[in-house]
Amino acid sequence: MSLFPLQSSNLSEESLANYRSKLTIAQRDLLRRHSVLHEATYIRKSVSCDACRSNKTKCSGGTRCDLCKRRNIECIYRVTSRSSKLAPRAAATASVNEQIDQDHNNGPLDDSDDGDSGGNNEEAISTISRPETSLNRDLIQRNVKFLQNLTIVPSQLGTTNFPLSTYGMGGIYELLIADKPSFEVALEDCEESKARVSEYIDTYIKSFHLRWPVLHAPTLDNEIGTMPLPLAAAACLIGAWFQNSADWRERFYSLRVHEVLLERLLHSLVRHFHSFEVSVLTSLIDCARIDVRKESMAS
Amino acid sequence: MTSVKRAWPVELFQTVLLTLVFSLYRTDKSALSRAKLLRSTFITILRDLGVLDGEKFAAHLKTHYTGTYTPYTLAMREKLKRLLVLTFQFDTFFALMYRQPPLLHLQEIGIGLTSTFALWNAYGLDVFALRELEEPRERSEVRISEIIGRSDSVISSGILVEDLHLGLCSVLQSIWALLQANPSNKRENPSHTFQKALLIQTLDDLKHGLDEISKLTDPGNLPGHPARYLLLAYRGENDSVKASLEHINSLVQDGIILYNHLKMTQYVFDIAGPGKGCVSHSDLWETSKHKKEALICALQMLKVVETKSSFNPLIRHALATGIDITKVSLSGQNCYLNGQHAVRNDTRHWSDIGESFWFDGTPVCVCRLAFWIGRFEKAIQDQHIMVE
Repeated sequence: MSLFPLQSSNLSEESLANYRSKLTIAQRDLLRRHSVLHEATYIRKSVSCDACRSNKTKCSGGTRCDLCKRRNIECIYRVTSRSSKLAPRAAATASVNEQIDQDHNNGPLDDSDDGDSGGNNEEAISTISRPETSLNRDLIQRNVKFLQNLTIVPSQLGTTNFPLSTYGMGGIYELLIADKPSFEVALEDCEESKARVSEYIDTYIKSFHLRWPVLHAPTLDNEIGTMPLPLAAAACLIGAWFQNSADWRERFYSLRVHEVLLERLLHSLVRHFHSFEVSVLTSLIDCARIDVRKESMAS
Repeated sequence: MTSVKRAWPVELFQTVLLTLVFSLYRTDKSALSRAKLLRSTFITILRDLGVLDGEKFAAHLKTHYTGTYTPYTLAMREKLKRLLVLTFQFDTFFALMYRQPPLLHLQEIGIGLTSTFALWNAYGLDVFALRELEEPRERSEVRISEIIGRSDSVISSGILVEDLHLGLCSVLQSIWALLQANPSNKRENPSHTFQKALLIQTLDDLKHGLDEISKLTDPGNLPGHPARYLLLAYRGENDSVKASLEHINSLVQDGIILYNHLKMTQYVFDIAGPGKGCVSHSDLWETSKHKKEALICALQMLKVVETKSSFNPLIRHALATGIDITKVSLSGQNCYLNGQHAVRNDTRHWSDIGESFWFDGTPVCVCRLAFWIGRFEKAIQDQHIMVE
């Protein structure tokens, strides 16, 4: 299942046009996020060597950086690779958030992913293994081509800042992509996120819930942090959508969250009741039959 | 499939339902096609698991959610009941919006009515304990399937707006059944006419129920005892009368929109069939004796929508149907007065005068077609809740 936002995009041309004028997504950032989240072979390497990292200084890079030469120690770059499915994905999201935070802090990066000219930037740089680097580069090139062809949301300002919120619906989207079990940990550390989620739930209860009282409102109010993430995200996206003050970014991510849920829930249902795949298929065939019947009646 | 030993994944089901309901606010095709797939899968699974079956439902509650602690057992029972009832309503809305037959039938939901909104939304055990004492006992004993057509007689403690919504939703199935049982060439036979009249009568009875509730909660009648059960039933976290009244009024408005939408759908199906709608069958529409009733429905719904904004996703689709009906009904007319209609300040919403009629003082005539279409379009534009 593709969860990459642009691949799973369901926005119609009209709705995209609405966002197009507002949204600036740097392709490079998207690409990096995509690689981090979806490529099983993705190898993340430190921009800085371990010594520079612990020293909190800029690493000059190369096979042996200046600091290591000066100290006369071995220059080691940390490598993390993805081996299992879920845990690394969660870790990857943390790194995505880290990257995006740093991108925001450091401003635009240059075009070279493996260059170390990013100032204080400690992002992906490959210096250890050439084959792996080239593999990564291939993937990047392929994805760049894909993104260039897609051209859903072109950058109008020419910046590389990705306007991702680390809180609000953008944050919830990230958590969902990362398969986090709930909001709990994310909410613990961020007062802003807590406040946002609280606003969503407030709006949900005061508007949507009056007509569709699916959830137990007191439980939702008090235990949103520990609820299963998809359920909490569904309630939040509805709350965010109905907020009068919701800006385009909140709405954009609400739709993204909804699209991820539409896809995942179908898989969850079928997976949960896998032995009934046949009967599900039968029902779909029935639906198709009804459509055909409807069409024939109409004609 | 899940064995009896495994509890149903209620939270997964709730997530599916919320996601599906939100898809009613979306208009882009790819999201809708996924929602359609999710909807049919979800309902099939509910059916296959036996969640809709009263006996299996009760057995499941007994196996997995037993105990003597009432707030817990009641909350678990309500969770499942509300899931089913609201899934049924979602299914009807989806079917109505996209002119498809509903997948879920009210008759197959073998559970009792849900508790009141007040009990489901009691914040704190102390509040729960107080509200539980005021809860109408017999509600859970009345089967949902019994609500159709005789809602007043089965609930002695008083009918709630959501009960009428259920009744209205169930009519869509009858509309489709009538359509399938009577192909276009047999629509003039007495049996079809009788069934159609019965269907319209059922809709009107349910609308009458909504009007009664509206009257009961009119500020002029409020000190009276009859409205008390309603005010108690719609308390949320906020206990005030004002909050209850607002809640009731918005539900009644939703009910009236649903009623008008169903009635328009019935007329459109009857005249033009479920396919492309009425615009493509203007010749059939022109000769139909029901075109005026359909037009009145459209205008009444427009008035309701203009009065108060709502979160109801049906509104946009109902207004779009209203535009079609207004266009097709008026464009074939001739204005006998050459646009020189007298101004009328009728207190009545509409009145019959020969070939043309007035609605809220404005003639409903081909010479005012642009005015009426403009009003409909403005009402659609004001629906900011939809995803464009």
